[in-house]
Amino acid sequence: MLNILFFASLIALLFATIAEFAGLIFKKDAVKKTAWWTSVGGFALLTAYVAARGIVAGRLPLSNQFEFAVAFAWGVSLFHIVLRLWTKQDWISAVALPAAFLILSYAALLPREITEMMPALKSAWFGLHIGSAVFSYASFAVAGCAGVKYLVSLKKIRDEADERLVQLDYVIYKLVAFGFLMLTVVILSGCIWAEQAWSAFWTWDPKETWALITWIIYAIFLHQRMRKGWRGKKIAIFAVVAVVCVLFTFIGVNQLLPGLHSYA
Amino acid sequence: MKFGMALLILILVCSLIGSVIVQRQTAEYYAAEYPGLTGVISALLLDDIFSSWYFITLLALLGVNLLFCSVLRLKSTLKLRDSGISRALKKESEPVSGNERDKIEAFLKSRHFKHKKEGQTELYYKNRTGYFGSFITHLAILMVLVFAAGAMYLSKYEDRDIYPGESYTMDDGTVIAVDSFTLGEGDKPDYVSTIRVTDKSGNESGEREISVNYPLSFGGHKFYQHSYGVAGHATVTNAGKTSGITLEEGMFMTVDGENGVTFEALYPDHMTDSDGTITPIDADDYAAPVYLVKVTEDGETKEGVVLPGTTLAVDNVLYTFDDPAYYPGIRIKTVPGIVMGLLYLSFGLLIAGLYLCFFHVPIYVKIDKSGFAVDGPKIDPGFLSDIDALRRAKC
Repeated sequence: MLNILFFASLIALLFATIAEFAGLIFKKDAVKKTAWWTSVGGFALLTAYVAARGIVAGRLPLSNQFEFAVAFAWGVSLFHIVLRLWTKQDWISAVALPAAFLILSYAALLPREITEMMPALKSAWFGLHIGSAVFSYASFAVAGCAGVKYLVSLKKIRDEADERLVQLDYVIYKLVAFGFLMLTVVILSGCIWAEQAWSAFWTWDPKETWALITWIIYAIFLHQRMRKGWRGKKIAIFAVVAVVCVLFTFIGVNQLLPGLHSYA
Repeated sequence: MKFGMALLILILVCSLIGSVIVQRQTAEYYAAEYPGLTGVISALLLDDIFSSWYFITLLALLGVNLLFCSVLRLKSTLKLRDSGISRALKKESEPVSGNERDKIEAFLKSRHFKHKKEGQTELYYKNRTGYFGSFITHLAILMVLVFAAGAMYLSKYEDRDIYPGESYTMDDGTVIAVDSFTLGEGDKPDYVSTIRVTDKSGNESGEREISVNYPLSFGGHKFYQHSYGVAGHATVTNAGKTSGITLEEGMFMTVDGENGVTFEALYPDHMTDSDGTITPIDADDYAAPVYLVKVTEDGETKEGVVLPGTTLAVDNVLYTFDDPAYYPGIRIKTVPGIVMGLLYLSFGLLIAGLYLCFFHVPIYVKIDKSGFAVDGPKIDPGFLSDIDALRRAKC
């Protein structure tokens, strides 16, 4: 049953992504509308999967790389729906749907067995720490994809003062700001939890260090925007490059730099 | 600000290096893993970069930079906030019809804008505390740096293995007694110690459980379930009196000083040959443990393997080898409570500061006879779009 929900959501997101691009290329509104409703269905299926897995496991399903990847994809899907409804702009689908699908595809490559949670993860801080990481990473991922959209659109529109690009630039900024706030919650809640679990709130573990590196990169991003007036193309490029750091913190650290933090 | 950005970049680079080069290993390790780079690693302190003088200097300079570039600018922040209203009132208005004006005012009231009347001008505004977002954020980061350093350098740690039924007395007179230790199964938390602490003033904690993520704070110390181990245990019976002993490798159990049993080692598992010979073997868990012992009697010493439950009689003294027992490793941490309290306060301030910075942005809307104007440090294009949509709506 769990596998059916998982693969159904994966297929729905794939179909939604293909339909979205088909609608864009062939300029068919009906196809894009199908993409939208399929993506909503995919999100609903993914939500059902996450909830069902949590019920079967008897805990929040966030304790290993697979579960976090699924939650990450869920977060990107959620951002997609919220941003579409907030901005009433359908370009969000072209950036968020491929991201959600790719992340969920990565999850599909990982072992899916439900395992007993390690003692070190059994804490009241677990939900806040990992949950805020989901929202942080999802926000940065959508910002990165929106940065790609900005650069592609700039090539066609050629005028950074165009209202569409101004709005896109603002959305990138707000997504990064939200992701940065959430990442700060991740780091600080992690410090408090580490002090309770390991007696030291910071040990320069690779995962902690890369979370800090990511935080510094986005702090520079926000400083450049707020103090130096960086807008448009510079911000878009920065958002795209910075998300590479997020992906390394998510995947690279676990594979290449294992440490005390090697759960997800 | 350029200097601040440069410092952040240098800290980032050091952090990157520190995450890639494994920290705090032996010289042999670096010689094996990074051949040819050992000299550079050692000279530049890359093997312990986060404790290096230059990394600590960078953090200290960042603190100084935060102090002078942000925190000490509170006065200018106050000026900016105080001049916000007058600036908004001076902004040139965009013409609107009476109907549009009414719609805009209704919209602003529905968004809980505050209202002020200056002569013929209506001024709506909100989020003025947002001006302090930057100040609070930078102050909080500075506090985090200071109190984190304080917590790191003022913390004292002591790791003790305390066997169930035994206690340990710290230098300040605090006594920690371990009543029991369990590994746990199923729904129960794993690695749970039941301890009793008596502080230096004689106050008792009572029986308390500690486990991973659930330490005990008492008497100015914090007690963590840090690790665990397995130890052999023996019961010695002599002339009707019995005493239990937790075994340590090399321990010679004797009554008269000459005859007795030496505990050599505890093996987690064993093999039994067809002829009954027991051979101890290493394994991950203690499925079938055996004791390796030496028996000394009448000047002769013999080595042998003993299963748990076996009793050896040496010179009328009985040595019974019991099932091995798990014991907890307790970490005792001492740090001034006020430092941790201020550190956690700075965490809260940082979150609040960031929220004010990005999501509580001051905004002013002036409505007068000539029209309306929107002003603020960072105007949301979405807000302007909403106002435009409102004006275009036909109702």
